[in-house]
Amino acid sequence: MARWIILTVVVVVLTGAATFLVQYAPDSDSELVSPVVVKSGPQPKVEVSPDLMFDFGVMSQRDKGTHTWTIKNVGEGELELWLEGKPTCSCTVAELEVPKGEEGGAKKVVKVKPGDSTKINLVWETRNRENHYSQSATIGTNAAEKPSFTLAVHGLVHPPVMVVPPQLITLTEVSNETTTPARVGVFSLDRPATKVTKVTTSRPSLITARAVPFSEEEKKAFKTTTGYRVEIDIKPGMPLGRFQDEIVIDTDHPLQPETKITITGNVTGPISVVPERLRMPNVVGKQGATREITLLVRGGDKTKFEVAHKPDKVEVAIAPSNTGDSKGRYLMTVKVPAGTASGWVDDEIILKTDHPRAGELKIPVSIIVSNGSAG
Amino acid sequence: MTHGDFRPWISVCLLVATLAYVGCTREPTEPAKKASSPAPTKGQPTAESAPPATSSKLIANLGDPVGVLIISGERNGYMEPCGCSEDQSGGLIRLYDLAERLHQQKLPTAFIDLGGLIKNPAGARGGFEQTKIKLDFAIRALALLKCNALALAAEDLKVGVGETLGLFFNSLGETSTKVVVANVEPAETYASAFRKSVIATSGPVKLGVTAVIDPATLDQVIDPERAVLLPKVERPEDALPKVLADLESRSDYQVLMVQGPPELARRLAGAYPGFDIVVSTSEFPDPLNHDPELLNGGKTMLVTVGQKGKNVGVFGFYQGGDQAPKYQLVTLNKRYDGPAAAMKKLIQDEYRETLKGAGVVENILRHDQANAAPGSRFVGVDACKTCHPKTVEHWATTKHAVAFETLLKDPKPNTQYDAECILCHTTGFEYNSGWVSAEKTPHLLGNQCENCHGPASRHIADPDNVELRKPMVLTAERADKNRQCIQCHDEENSREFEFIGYESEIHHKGLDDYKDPKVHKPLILKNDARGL
Repeated sequence: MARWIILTVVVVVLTGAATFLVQYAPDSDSELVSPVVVKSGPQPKVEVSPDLMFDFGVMSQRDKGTHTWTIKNVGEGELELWLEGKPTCSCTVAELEVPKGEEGGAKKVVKVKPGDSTKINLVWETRNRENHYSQSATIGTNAAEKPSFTLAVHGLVHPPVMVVPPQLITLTEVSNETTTPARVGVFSLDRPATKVTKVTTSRPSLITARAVPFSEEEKKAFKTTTGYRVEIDIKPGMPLGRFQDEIVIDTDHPLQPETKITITGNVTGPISVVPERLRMPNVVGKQGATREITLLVRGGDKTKFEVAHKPDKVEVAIAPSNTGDSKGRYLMTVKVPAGTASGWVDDEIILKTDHPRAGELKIPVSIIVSNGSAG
Repeated sequence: MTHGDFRPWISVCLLVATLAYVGCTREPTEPAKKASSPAPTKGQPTAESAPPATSSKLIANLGDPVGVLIISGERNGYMEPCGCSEDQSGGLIRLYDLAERLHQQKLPTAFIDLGGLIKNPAGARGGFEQTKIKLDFAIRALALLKCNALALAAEDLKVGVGETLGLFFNSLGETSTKVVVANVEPAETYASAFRKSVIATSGPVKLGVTAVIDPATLDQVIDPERAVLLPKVERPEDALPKVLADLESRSDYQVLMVQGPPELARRLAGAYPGFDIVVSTSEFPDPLNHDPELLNGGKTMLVTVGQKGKNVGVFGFYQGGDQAPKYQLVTLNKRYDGPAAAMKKLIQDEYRETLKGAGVVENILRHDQANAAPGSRFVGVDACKTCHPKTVEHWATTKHAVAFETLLKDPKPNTQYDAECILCHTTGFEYNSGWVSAEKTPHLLGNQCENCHGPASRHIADPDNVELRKPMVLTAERADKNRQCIQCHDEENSREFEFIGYESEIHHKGLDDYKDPKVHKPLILKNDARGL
């Protein structure tokens, strides 16, 4: 029996001790996270040249660059250098990197004797980056006056076929009653003779596009000898609300035959609804909540609104809200009354108007009524 | 000794071995930066709340401050780490963990944000509606973090000025978090969410915080409501002198956040040397300079914290003010993967639950594919299999085939309702007749043939028609040159991606021959919902 009592005591003591050690003992890799222990005696001192930041100017996509820094130990003690964490995405520092597959092991440390120097070479790949580009690597040291320093490169990266503005055309306001134009420039820096061979749009009946050679002024503005202006026209008749379409520009550039850009915007009729969708995601039922939506009548025309449909849980009121010179502005107030039961509302408010060209307005409604507290 | 005599000692040995195993195999912690000064030792975490890393050394480079100021900014829509691949930095959950650990260490903390919670909502990867929801939750996250001041940013107004001010009003009106801007006055209705400046306390230290927005960036917000909702916009130079004078009389250090180009921040820092700390926007996602730029003879520190929420800047302030504030740029890496329960609930549970409720995936703006055969619709891989059996058989062995299942296995909840995620895990998303939901478009799960080759309904209806086949022909070389793969295999979500290596895994040229007469006959699918 006594043996079992001893066993129980041993179990409890060991369990407690192990728990204490796991929670409070210093980490096995604590030397990585604790401050540098400055050894007594001669100290190292770091001198980096040239500047920590290197501007490489302009590079193409899918290119590789390299820059070398000299790290000199101008102190009296031995200098140690290592890589702090990983360098940013697509660059390498071969001298200090632990070989692949051995990442969990000890860090690689380069030692520099007093008066000596070592070279650190940063290699980066521009890959498919565009415009401003930077990469950096932070180097840790055992020098008390400079425990770490960051080596960085930066510059501009351009794709084989440049589209300006790049990738996206945003049209804030597109009238469904008139043609709305948008223009982009297309040219190549590394192959100026590049030709646009075809332009297609995802909605050819309402969005048209054609490529026209740059004018002399445009060539100057884009600092190119040749290039194209792609003229995009959004024709009347686009459905009301937000749209997102794509335009594909084919070129004879051997490194980028096709470039896809997105065109997006908000088509408004004679009456704009701002915001176009009512969303109340955090209504506390017992408190209720109110949101306002603005109705803007183009030209400031006086307009009558009638609520033809609304979700049962909400109250809707519309009143003129003209301020100063601003005419044709109405405020629609949507109220979730205090005491509303919890649940989802996924419905719409339909307004009938006496505007000759507007007719009916539909405003999607998404409301979440909860029992809890507001975020 | 009898057989029974050994049993207790064998048990003890086993127990010791077990405990030794437990003790020796705990989770490894993330290495952190070395520092030159002793780490503060206050506020050891309790056993219940012990974070996974060495919290007492969080701000080791700062020494032993009496209070700290955390600075974040230019989140650009990245509420979570910037991408779904391993080792990505950033995220509001990690920021919350950092704040929690500082709190556990009883280190008083003030917190400010430069704004830019979202970026370019019209062109955002998850769509306009999701970006609006994201802005809402990012604002609520800052309130949860007890952020003292959020600078007004033009990008945050691009979901609609009325919408943004409404979010500020609803989420911040009753909280201690305020939108701070010295040179803009909002309409009276929204005034309760705004301040020209605030005094943020960090222990015994009083920080006078203000912010300005460059009127030129505000002009880029094209909204008919802007002039009504933000009726008064001044030049920063006209607004700052009065605000600075007020702050100097009420605070120990004066802090200015500048929403505008970095040159403006530098210019204002030089013009108003009264500010001790100036926070500027960043040209690059990762700040090139991790240390403050010293201006005005070293009196003013100009800092940038980078973009996408990967890093935060932390200032330490010291007893009696006899030591100048110190600064450390902190990268929010795995080291900060602590519990952060309240923020996880908001960002992972409530945010995605709202995306689900709002149906952002189902309601995404759709369009036709510009370079597809006109009128073509997505039909799904089963239709392709009829004539390309070996190709589909090979595809079924690739990760593309299980992309949707991979998404479902993500430990984060409801990722299939997040438009940013679903884009790369299904077929034809954002296109008419493409992915809608697992219930409505089960034939488009995963990354199928049509994501690269385009919608196939017209091709399968007339397989020998060369004109209909042409838009679907895609060589590996052309896919690479068109940057097709990097739509998903980008640097944030597929850091190791190399075209040649990855393409070899899915390479399928010449696997099928087309000798069977049936491959030249039209394929009629039974499912009318696919538009055939």
